[in-house]
Amino acid sequence: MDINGHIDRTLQGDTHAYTVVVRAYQHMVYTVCLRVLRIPEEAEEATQDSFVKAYQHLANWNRTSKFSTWLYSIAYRTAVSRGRKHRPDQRSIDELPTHPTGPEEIAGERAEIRGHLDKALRSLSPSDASVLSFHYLEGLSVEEIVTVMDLSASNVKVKLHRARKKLLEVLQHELKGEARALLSDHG
Amino acid sequence: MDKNDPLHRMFREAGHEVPARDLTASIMARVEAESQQRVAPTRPLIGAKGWISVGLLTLVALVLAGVVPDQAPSALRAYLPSSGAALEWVRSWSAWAALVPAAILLVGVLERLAARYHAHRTVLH
Repeated sequence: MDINGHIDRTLQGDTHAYTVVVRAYQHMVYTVCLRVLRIPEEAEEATQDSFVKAYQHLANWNRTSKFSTWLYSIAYRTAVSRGRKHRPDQRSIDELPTHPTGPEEIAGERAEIRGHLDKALRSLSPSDASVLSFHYLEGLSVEEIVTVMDLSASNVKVKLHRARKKLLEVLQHELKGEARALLSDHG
Repeated sequence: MDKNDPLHRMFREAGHEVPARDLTASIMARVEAESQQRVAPTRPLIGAKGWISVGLLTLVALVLAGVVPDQAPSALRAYLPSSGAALEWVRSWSAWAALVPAAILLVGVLERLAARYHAHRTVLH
């Protein structure tokens, strides 16, 4: 059964069907929240809040947009709202954990790339990091990012351009070895 | 999106962030609690249209009670008490016409109050 089927079953009162939705989108929602909040514990709380809000308003999802876009929108706004209420401590980028410890072992080059990318994204504003993440990781179009972040299309394009440029600069400075080759091969 | 963009490949290589623990159980616990708080809507005995009808009926009965003289239908006279001031109201059709909708209104109000009390207890427990 596809995700729409599980959403339909949830709407019919089968709460258990929502487990499949949570499992399918948990990491995506967590990533969105972490980009905004930067603190893993806060991102976990925001992730939980996002899924509960999505459950409460599931009937309001008009199927003209993708479910993932609708969910990202909830996650992004929940994280931004939480960020305003629970202003994070003023730890510097270097003091923040470079990457939350996941249950899986992320070995070798991938871990190196992720670590550098994570650190570089933290040097950007939460809004810029989110734009890049939506575009490059989630593959959202400008129109979809407009919906998720409630910005104008021109604003999204400008943010995307500037954030991309800055991220590349930071990465070029930070990366070493194979990870740097990854950038230079294509850059 | 340009698939040759180095950032595209980098983001894809890095993948999603993974929380330190699986959040499914804690999310579903909150969702279950949320769904239990949602009390199934009870269908009231008297709906909106019913309330309007009963209200209009009561109003009409009260107006008619002041205009039309009381006279029980001849077929019923044999069954009604013939004397006694205390029971005189029983012979008044307008009194019955007003009392019946008033009784329905009372039942409706009690039913709503009982439903609210039940919903309150369900949320608390």
